[in-house]
Amino acid sequence: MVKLRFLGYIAEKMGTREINIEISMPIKLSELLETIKGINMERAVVIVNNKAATPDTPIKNKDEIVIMPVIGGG
Amino acid sequence: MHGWNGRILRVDLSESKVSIQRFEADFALKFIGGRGFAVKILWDELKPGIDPLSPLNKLIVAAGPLTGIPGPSNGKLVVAGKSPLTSGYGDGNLGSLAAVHLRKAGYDALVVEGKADKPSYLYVEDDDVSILSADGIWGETTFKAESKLKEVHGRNTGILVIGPAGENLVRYATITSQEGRAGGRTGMGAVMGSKKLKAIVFKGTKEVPLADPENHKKLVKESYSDIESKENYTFWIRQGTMATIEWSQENSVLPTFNFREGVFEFSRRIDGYAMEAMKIKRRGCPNCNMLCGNVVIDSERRESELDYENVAMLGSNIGLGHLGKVSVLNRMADEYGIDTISLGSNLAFAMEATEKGLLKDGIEWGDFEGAKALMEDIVYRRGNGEILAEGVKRASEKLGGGSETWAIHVKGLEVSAYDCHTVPGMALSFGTSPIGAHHKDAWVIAWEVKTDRLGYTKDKVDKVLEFQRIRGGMFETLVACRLPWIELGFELDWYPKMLKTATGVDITLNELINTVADRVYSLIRAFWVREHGEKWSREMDYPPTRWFKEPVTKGPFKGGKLDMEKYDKLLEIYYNERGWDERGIPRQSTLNKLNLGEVTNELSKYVSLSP
Repeated sequence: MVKLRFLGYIAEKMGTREINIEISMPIKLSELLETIKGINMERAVVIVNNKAATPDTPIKNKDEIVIMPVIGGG
Repeated sequence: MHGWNGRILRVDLSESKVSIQRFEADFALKFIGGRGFAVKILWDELKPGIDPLSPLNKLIVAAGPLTGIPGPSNGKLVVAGKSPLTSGYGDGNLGSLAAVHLRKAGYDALVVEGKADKPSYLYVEDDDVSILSADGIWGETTFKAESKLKEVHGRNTGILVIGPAGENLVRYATITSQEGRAGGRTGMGAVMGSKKLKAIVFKGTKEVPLADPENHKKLVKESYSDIESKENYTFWIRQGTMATIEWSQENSVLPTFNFREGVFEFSRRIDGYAMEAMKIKRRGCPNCNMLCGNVVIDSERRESELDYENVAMLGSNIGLGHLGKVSVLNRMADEYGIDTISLGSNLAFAMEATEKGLLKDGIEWGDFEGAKALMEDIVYRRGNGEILAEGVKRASEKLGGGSETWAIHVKGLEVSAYDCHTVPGMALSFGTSPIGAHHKDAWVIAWEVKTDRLGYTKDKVDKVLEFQRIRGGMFETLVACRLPWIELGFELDWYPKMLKTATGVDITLNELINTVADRVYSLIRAFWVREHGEKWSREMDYPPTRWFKEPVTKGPFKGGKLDMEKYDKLLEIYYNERGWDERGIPRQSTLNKLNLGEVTNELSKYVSLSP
């Protein structure tokens, strides 16, 4: 199971703060995000297991992905 | 001129004298307004070494060419002077109807000098300026004082007021307005208090001359619609900056237990969702359609206007995980006119000093009643409050015992609410912020987390510079709020367009962000260096020792801390990019390039300048 957590307005947009997705084999982050729609990586901070991610970051079960807004710090 | 009124109101409280100083287009175009005007005036008119709490200091209230006229989120003012907290250049920014009324009264700035012989306030109604007795309001909280002034002068006024903290010269006393807007955390409230000036009331009835009022109106209407169309607008309306509590916790930058840690066990009890459950309304600055002040009912059934900085510094940073109680502390701070960031830092310092046996009759972590009592002691300079009213830098110098390591400040200004053990770019931002540690000028954490969080790269320096030029340069000279841009993505291109319809002048983004911003930053640096002379060193630009010496022990970045050698390298790159030498002092060539040649002669009397 891959855990995806959403923060801020992204959670509002997705209608939830967390979803879990079962994948049968490792895939690229961009491919996983395409299945849930609505996430533009360029306009979000996406981290996988607490590290900065790119569209090509490999994702496997038990990974945790956090998708956050690019905020301005006030 | 259009856009600018071309007039600075000058009040000498010692002589009870009022005069108007006019300025022409060359001054306006060179410094634009706000912070630019303030530093130029302070550079020209203050001698180095003066006591910031003496009549020799000057308080400046400055607007820019977009301030107060129709336009998104531009009801803001810069308040500036020599800082009683840092003894360097100090400023702050607050939203207030005073911004609108100052400009409609026909001025772009106010300079107050001297000291009244008894508590007074200024009443400015267009060309009529009076220095009136503050009997009946001196000693009152900011809320009560502003309310009484409105009874006398009417609700169609803009009021800046200090509370007991400013009156008692607490070094981080602020200037407040509208029961929740506050600015000048570098002690501008104490500067007012030292002048026996309780309040400034503006009432303006004229119109600021605009070059193309028809098209300006059209442009502004479009700009408001554009802001409301942004993808995250509705969430912003829900949580404002309070969404940052969750964000900071997630990214291990939430200041916790005096910046020991970046994660707080009870963050969910004080986050934006907790706030929404208590929220009753929103408040904010004039001309804004994305009000950021979220008002809740606090634990004492009073209204308290919250944002991220208040809650992080008076919540996680002091180990208090109860939003109702944090809101009480926040509201009391607004009433007393004391900065919530520095207050939170001083309370945390006291808690740590107690824990380490350095403070007698101290205070435990998370002690709400103790924090209330200690805040009052700080405001009225009693007991331990007497030391803490001076700020953590002076408090640590007095207490010793290694407390300098965990006195969390840069240049004497307490660090605002982002722990930087594991974000070196943000540490550089705090180190090089022109007023001491403040996030206003450059906030790079989202970009750092997205790219190369733990790296010490030239890209990080470039990012800090980019943000300083826009946030601390452009927005602080136009004097408009940066939040529509930085939080919602309102494009920067709108600003030169609005400047054109307001002033009739073509000023490019490049001019604002590069030329003027760099000029203002180097002049602010010159002000600091002149105050210190040959004693100035690059160590003034170092972040708190704690971040280098004491790793975080919790969260996903457990064991993380900054590296001094690598930080010094970042600083070296920063200085090169700014055209400053290895001490962080502007080179002569840089000052000349920025059309600050006149600064060279003066500065070279105090310090040897590199070519």
